[in-house]
This record gives sequence, structure tokens and C-alpha cells, in this order.
Amino acid sequence: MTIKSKTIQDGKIAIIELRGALIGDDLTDEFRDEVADYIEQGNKCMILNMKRVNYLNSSGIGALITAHTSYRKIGGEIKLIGLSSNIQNLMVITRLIEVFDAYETIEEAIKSFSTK
Amino acid sequence: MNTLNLRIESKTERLSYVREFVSDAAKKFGFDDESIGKIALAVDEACTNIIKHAYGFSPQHNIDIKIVTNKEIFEIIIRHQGKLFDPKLVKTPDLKDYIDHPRRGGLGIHLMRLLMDQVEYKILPNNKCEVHLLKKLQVGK
Repeated sequence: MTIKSKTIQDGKIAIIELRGALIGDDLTDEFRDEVADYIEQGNKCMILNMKRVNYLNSSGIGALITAHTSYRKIGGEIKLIGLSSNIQNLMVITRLIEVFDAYETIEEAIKSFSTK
Repeated sequence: MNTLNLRIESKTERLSYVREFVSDAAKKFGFDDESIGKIALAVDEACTNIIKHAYGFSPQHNIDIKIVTNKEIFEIIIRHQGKLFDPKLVKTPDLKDYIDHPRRGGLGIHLMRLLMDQVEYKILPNNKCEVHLLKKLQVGK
């Protein structure tokens, strides 16, 4: 798995792009560390671009939940974009779709922050 | 009744073979892509648990995966000789509580139960353990 990230709007919104499989302790640790770094920097608006995530298992789901909870604790929010049909189905089965805000495009996710 | 067999070493690097093996068999059996994804993930979770908990990441052991098909039944039987495991000790996590207090692990078995029609653990003589994962093909769907 590879992780690319950037900030936009003068650092207000952080965007993490995940590629590959979000599985296993080692791979999810990289993601957990990246999220923790942004929280440490004071970021409160995170977009996770999942468009290139081809596989997700319970470790990956656990990492997403941890990220969501960490942001919620600091009064922040995480939005998901680009969920494939497989991952969307998995989110529905696990009822996580009720927990996460998911959008089709990055523009929609950005707009959702500004409307609050 | 037909069977297919695969033996892998107890390494997480082998899990992609397992997913491919199970996905191919499920496709030939007639499952749609969504069901194939669910079956492959459930088997992946079961094997991951064995590698992690039954064998403690020790890579010199084997995991035997058998697929048994009979009429509309697609069953995967995963056998190992690692540490015995009682699934009754694993409580189904409350999603709200898990979100409030996230922790590593604890989701795999819950996920397997959601993905498959039936999940059973069996302890055999000679300290062998089997995980049975069953999915029915919905004819006409």
C-alpha cells in the first residue's frame, strides 16, 4: 500500500490518498501514523481518498474506525471518497456506512466541510 | 460432491493465493462478484486469525483449505494444528462501543459471521482444528 497526502485551503483540509490493500498491522500502522501526524498538526478536516484501495479487511476497517474516532475526539471530521462497489458493500454489511460520511467526488467532500 | 484443496504455509504473504483460489472456485460455482468478494474476505479473515493467533506468526506450519461443493452449498473447511481457539469467548462487538473505544483486532470473526451464511469451529482428535465457512448459492438470483 502507498500513502500520499497533501493539504489544501491553507492547510485547513488534509487529503490522504490510499493505494492498494489496506490490510495487516504493518500497512495499517503507516496509515494510523499519517492520521496521527495530521491531528498533531492541529488538522480537523480530513478527506480519505479510497478510489485506489482495491482491498480492505478487518484490520483496515479497524484503522478507519480509529481514524474516525480520533478526529471526532478533537472535534474534527473525516470524509470518505471514491468507495468501490466492493468496499461500499462491506461498509453497508458492517453498518459503517451509517458512521462515515461518504461522497462521490473530492469537490463534494470539500463542500461538505464549508457548509458546516 | 466435489472438492478442491490448497495447502499454504502459515504466512500472511500467502493470503493472496488463498483469495485467488477461493475466488476462482466461487466464480466457477456460479456466485456473483459481490458474493465472491464476501467469501474471499471471510476466508482471508479466518486464515489471518490462524496465522496470528493459532500459530503466533510462526511461518513453518501449514494451513489446509478444502472447498466442498454439493448442490447449492459452497463450503470452505480450513484446518490447522495450532493453538486451540474457542470462538464463544469472542463477543460480537457493539459497533457504537467499538467506535467510542477502538482497539486492534476483534472484528475479524464478527466480519466472517456477517459475510457467510454459517461459521462453525470444530475441534478434531489429535489437536486439529477446523473452521467451516458455508455459503448457499441463491438459485435464480
